[in-house]
Amino acid sequence: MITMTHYLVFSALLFCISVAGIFINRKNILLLLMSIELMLLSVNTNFIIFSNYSNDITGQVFVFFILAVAAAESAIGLAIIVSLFRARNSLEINLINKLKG
Amino acid sequence: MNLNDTLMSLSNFAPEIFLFFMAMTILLAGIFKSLKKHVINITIVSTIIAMLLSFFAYTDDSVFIFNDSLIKSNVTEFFKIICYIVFLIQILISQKYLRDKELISGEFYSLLLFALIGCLIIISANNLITLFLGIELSSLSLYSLIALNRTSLISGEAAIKYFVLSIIASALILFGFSYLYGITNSLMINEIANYLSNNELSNLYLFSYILVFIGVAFKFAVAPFHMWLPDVYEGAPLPITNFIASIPKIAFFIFAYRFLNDNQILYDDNFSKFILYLGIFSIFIGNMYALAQQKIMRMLAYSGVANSGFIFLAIFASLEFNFSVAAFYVITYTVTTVSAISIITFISSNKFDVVYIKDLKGLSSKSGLISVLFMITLLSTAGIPLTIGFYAKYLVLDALVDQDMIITAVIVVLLTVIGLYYYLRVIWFMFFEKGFNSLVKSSGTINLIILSIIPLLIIAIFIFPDFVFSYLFAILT
Repeated sequence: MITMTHYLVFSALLFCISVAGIFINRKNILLLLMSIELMLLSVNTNFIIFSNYSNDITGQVFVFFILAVAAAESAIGLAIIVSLFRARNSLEINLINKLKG
Repeated sequence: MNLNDTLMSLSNFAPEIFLFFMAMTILLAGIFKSLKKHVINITIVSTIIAMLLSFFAYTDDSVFIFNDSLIKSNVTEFFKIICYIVFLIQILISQKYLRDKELISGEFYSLLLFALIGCLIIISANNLITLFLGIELSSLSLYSLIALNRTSLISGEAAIKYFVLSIIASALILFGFSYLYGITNSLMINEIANYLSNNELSNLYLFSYILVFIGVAFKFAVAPFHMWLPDVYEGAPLPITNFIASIPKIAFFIFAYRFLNDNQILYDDNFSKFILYLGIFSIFIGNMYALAQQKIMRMLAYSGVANSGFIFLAIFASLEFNFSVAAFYVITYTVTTVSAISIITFISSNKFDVVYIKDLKGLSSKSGLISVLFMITLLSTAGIPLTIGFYAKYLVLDALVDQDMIITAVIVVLLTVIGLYYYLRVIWFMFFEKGFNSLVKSSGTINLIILSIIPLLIIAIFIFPDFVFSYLFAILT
């Protein structure tokens, strides 16, 4: 029997994996965008679980807003990445080190 | 929701709706060559109109609009008017800089207005959905604004750093929201904040509040979540830096106020210690790193980190007082930062960018007025008497001592005294070294008047602080 706790642990794990993905990833910026999507999706899972178990629809409405914003966010992220790639012909994270004090 | 309610909501939210339509109009006007040069004027006029609408609709009672998703009260209107004024100052000052860098376009002002509207929505949000949309509207516009200078190598880098860390912050805030929704079964901020008056404090509630406030700490750039701030200050165009340093801070202060006002969680030892330690650590990190900086914007960024630490200390101190100390500090910080960055924007031109601190050497021989104004601003940021910054820091320390946190207060004072060094170094370069490399153009008397008004305010509010403080105390109680 899968209870609410299982679902909650699952989404917390997803969140941790995506945070780890952002901080461990040293190769490619595109992987960062995937991790960010995963992060927002784990939040969505949480909202749906709570909404389902408490018979309250507002949580699911929130999920739609998060999905829409996540799409807009990755669009802008890709645009920034394209302009970055044009400026320096590479997408390696190690090369993003022009700014330091 | 009947027609009457809708009309009432629309009229109460008129300034923002008006600004939204004007932002669209500006985006459209930017396409046509004949209209493009009027874009600045349209932005200025529409901001003034929105400010006046907001000013004349000012009432002392709070109104819930759009099915309780937004709130309009004297607190929100007061801080919104401050946002409008700060925004106007920034637009007026940045004109020459933007013209030199060829950044003036319809989308620049349109995105800037959207970022402003996002911050205004955060200020008046009463519902987690509206709050989230406000946060995202302001930060999505800011990502693209930072990256707007496409030929620059460092702008793109600053944008990608701000993008990643700001989304992590938003996701942490959202993750906290999801647990808060699960616990309280409501998306209304006031119901979430009042939850503890009828229920016991659970670990999950505490955990979700800590998640939300880690997100807020990211947005405030409180150490150890400050990594993005120096890079963004250095990489973004100066007018955008000016925006990021001021208006979102006001908005996120109101965010913190909504979640903590009348909330029993402030009396919980774990949570209040969490806020306190973040504040002290941030003052430490900010002052120590600022000592080692050679670039002026990075120095201002780390001084901003230290000041954000003071804001967190003030939020901690609101345990027994109300939020007026923190609100006063936020306003002080905003005014002084806007003044400092505006002066740097004013000095920078297409031939000459002020990047390093030593670029300012001998400024007093070329323009005495500007260097005196910059000195007053820096002294206020450092917290020297005769400036508003001193009074704000004094209020925070006074509140700490009243709570028997004497050792903390002593540590904070010592760290602030150490921090004095890097402000005085800039003043030394301006007055006692020779050889300023560029002419400060005397064009733009309006800009000079605006630049002089802020330091005058800094001194004037120090002499009559009760005028502002008692008003804040009254509306925040």
